[in-house]
Amino acid sequence: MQIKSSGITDVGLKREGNEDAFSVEDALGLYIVADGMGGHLAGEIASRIAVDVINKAFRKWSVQDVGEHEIFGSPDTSLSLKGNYILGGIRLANRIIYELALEKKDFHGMGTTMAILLVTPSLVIAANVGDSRIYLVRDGEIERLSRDHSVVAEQVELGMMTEEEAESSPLRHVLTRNLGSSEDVVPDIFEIEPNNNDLFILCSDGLTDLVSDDELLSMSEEEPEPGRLCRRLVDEVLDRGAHDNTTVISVSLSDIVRSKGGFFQRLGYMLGDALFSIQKRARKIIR
Amino acid sequence: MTDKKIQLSVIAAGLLVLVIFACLAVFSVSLAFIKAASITGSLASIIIIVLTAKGKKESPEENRMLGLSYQDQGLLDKAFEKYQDLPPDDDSRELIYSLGLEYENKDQLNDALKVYLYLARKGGFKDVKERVRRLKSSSRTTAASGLVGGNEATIMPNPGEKVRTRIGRYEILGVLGKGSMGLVYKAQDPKINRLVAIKTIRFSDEFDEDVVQEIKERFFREAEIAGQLSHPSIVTIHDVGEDEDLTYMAMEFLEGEDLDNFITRKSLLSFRRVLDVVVKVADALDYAHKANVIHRDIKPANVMLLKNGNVKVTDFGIAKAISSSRTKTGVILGTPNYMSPEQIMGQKIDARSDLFSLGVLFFQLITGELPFHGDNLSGLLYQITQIKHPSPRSYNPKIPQICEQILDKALAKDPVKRFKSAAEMSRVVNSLGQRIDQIRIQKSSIIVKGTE
Repeated sequence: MQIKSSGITDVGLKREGNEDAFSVEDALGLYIVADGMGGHLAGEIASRIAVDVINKAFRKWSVQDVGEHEIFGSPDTSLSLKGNYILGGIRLANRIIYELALEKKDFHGMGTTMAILLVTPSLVIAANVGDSRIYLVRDGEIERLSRDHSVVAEQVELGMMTEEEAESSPLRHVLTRNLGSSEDVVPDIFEIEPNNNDLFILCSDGLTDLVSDDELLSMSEEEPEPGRLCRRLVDEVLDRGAHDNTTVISVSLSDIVRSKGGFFQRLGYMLGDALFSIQKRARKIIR
Repeated sequence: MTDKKIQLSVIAAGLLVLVIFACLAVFSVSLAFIKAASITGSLASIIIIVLTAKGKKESPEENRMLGLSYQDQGLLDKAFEKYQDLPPDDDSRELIYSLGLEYENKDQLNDALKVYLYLARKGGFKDVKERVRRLKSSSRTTAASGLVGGNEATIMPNPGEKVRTRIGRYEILGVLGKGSMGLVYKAQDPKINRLVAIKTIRFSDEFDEDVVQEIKERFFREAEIAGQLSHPSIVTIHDVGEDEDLTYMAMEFLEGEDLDNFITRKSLLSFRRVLDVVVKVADALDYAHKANVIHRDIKPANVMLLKNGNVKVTDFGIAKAISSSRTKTGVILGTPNYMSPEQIMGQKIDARSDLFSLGVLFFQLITGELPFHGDNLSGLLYQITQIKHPSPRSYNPKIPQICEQILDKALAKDPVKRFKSAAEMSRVVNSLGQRIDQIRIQKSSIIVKGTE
């Protein structure tokens, strides 16, 4: 499998400091965007700690090939082993930020969002907490692999608000989950099969506030090379006023060699893909 | 995007019917799910898993992970906390031992000692005993903790602030006290083997980031000017500098106490001694004023009374460097009790502002009371700017009338009505002292004293 990746963060035009943090680790196939919050440097510290803790925990567990019962917290048996590593890493980072925020006055109220993508030849894992997003561009369509944990996103899911209303709501930045605000955090974790030419975009809300999903799709089709795509997206945000810190990571896959899966495994994937498309249609009809 | 794939899969698998049935079945289930569940989220594929696992209290293994992560992040005190919760086996002792080594590496020797002592109490580990012995005998740990000992509550460094062994080229011997903006250390200049007092200021802790650089520059400029003052009653400044994020000022090391120790009714100096102190401070001010330096912050804490009887005025110019700067919390640094009316009103001030402050100090040294009170800041500021001070004789009738007149002049709201210069004030106070001396010689039975 060939991976090409790139990441950019930009303070933007209105903010003084950059509370976003990100990491691009091709060797691990691990990509992280975190958008910190909290006064006087606390936001920067929260996002930096989150990225660092998860990277280190994931690397350590992978190298030592620990079992899923040795991660932080009880494992989720419906997830793969690597999915559990990510889950454990998020919990560990959450606990550390939570305890620091509780104990040190300067850190009171700090927290961070988190968008994590893990890419392996057989499995792609997308995990998120908060409103930093993960997109998949595949076969000319764009799909969110993350779920926004914000007040408005939940309203939209409940059908109490339209996407358009959500975008202009004054509550659109109010999160319902983040790392650091409670002792335990529950991330959303999606595991999917990678395809050749898959393109992933991880980003903080600095990008998605100003660039719509459709625009993301058309720009990524015009500029599929990750380095240039990231630059293009950040430039676009800057052109539009960049009121917030903006971070973009782009990852593209090619030359995926399927692991020796049996007939039934392949059949399962096919069924999965078929259902994927039917579900999408179903959701469009429901809306 | 998957229409093609459906067809492909159907042909490849030859299981058209099966696929359709399966799809329909799951489709209806998922439809029901979408309708029923309040939150369905963005379902990305059949193997989506939405997590709902609930966390639980930490196991030892979790504590270990938390501890390691804290240590990784350089948060050693938090790591120590977590390691102490581990079962006391060799594994956990090894972790705690590694913390001690890291503290030593970071020169946080008191913390290292604390960690080794903990291990020693828990039955010892490796060369912990040896390390405890070495750290205890090290002047750097004992000097600091010894001096801090008696008065721990007031002069312990802030949590997180490491006990330093060196600032700039100076070797720290101990902590002398806590100044208005940071710790004051006793230190030695290894170059010339001279004892110095080092005042430290962590500007980054006190001021908003955007003004720190400006204040620092002003601080160095003022320190340079003040450093040129050379007078027997002004503390000599040897050096200013920066070490990491700490700004420091190395000054003449003095053995004595500041006047904060003599301003309550129970602790007053003798009246005659107060006159001496006021004269010496006025002389120092006069010298500085002639060099165009206004002190701006005359208060008990800035006047030292030495064991040999000398008086030393400290902190010339520092007030100017930091005044009119918004601090982090938005409060005025220090106390406005000694400020002149024109200082409070933000008007341009001159040497006569210092004379007003000296008047307040004088008043307090003979009565044990401040001339201006207020239930709150605005009440105090109103008093200073609008209300005449009470007569010092109302607190202590033994105070001579002439002294009351001196104070009335020093504490005049209008600078024009005050003494014209510190020299004039010094002369007047000094003549009062001499008259008292003469009377004492003539009638050795009469002793005029403050309430001792």
